[in-house]
Amino acid sequence: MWLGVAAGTALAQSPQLLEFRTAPGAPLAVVGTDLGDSRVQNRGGAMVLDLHATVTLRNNGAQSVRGVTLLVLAQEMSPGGKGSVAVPSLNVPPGRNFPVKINLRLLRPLPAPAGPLVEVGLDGVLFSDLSFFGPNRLESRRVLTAWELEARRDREYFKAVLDQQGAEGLQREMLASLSRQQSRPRLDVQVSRGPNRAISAAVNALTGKNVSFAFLKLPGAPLDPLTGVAHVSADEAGSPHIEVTNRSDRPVRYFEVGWIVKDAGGREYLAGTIPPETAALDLRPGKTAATLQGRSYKLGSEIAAMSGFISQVEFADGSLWIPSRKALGEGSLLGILPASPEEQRLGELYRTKGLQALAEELGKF
Amino acid sequence: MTTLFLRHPGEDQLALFAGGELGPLARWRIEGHLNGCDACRQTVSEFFEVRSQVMDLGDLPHVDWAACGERIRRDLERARQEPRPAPVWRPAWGAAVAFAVLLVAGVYVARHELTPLGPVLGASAGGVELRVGSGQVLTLVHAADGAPVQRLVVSGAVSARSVDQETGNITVTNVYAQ
Repeated sequence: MWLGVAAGTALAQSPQLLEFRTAPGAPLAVVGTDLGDSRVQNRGGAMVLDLHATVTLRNNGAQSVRGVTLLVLAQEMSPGGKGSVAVPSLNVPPGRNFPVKINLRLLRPLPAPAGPLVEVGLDGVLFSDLSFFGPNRLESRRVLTAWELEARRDREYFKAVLDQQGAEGLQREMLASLSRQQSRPRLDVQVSRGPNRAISAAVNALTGKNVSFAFLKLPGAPLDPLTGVAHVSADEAGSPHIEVTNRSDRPVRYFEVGWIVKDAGGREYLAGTIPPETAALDLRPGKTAATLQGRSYKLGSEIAAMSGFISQVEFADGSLWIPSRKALGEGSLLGILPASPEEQRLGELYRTKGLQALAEELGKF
Repeated sequence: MTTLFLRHPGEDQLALFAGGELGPLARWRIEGHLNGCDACRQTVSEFFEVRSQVMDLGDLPHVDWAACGERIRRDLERARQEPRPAPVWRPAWGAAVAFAVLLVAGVYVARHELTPLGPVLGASAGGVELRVGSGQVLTLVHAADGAPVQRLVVSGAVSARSVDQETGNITVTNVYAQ
């Protein structure tokens, strides 16, 4: 279905800014769109599309919606021309509407096309039984499923705290969680394809050094990190080369390695996560694979040491492994990693509506 | 006439052309220009005229070329016999200085901002930013007002996660390098 959205006054030069596209038979229907104060500006040879839109969707499926991802596309190949908006940790029963807000700025080269400037399409929707619908161009099935598994893990944890330690215990845990979210060290990170600077390859050879990874081995991880090294020059690093081996009895088609950097003052930051070298991974039991190369990272702090851990594994049958809450706590990762979307949502619920509302929310699942 | 011949040649070029002193390429260019430019053709013809007048002048006044040549030879001989000061600069030093300059430039490049080769996606306190060239920064995802924002770099994408103050829902906005 194609739904054209008429432009507002700010879009006098372009009669159609946004078009929403869903595949036939999709379990989500568009019931309303609001462009808000979205606007288009020409800047140099490009159009800057400032989107502040809301799309209201209805769950026409038989299960509750747990997460949804929309692909927002102005120009596929242009830098800054492609984005996406995902809403995890939902609990939308069949027949109910829910909003998805698109607050994003995209670029597309001039001249303006005859058609819409931006296409918004469903990339995927995940239901409470972990069934999925959508073209999955952005690997939304894996991403939404991982968020849902994290949500179940963290809800179970907070429910157990409530059961065992009562309301006071839950309150302590939520305060600790909010404190971690506020005080978690954040790092400015820039990522680019290939070498970041004009003369960097030759210069880095003179001034940089190879820094080896230390690895945190989390209990139950299906993969073992073997070796890891990255060429580091001050606050810049090339793609870390990390080798992992599959110690499970199932083939693996995707994994992510969490990358933690330590600055000279001993503070640790999550720099990002690194995917495998190839998108079509088939890592058989006992075999090894490496992480993706060809990126440059500029971090907002001088790099003194680095460590890594297996943060996610997807098996060939589509099932996922994520670290347990206990493993994250034992590995001192809770204060370094961002809270899961569900923990963030629950913390916000506690902050704005109080302990009773939080306990009621946990009781819904 | 093509644009190659549109600009007027300088007078020196026209004079050299008139004297037959130009190379084949320059001569061809000026011939092309003269085909369509009356003014330059006139200038060249004047140079031709002056040249022919000079050639028509009588013999040059008498110069004693032999005595002149002998004087130059003596001066050269004297200069050769005078002691020369020891050279301060040695060729090897040039290579050393060049290497040092390269090294200093290399360290400077490694520690200071230069123009990136391609677009750079970044996550900072301001949100998700796209940098193109040396100074152009475009914020693609603004940090939500008041709400804590989590940012994460995953391969070629940068994501910002925030809580919608109205609905309490989490929204994750991703921007892709390409």
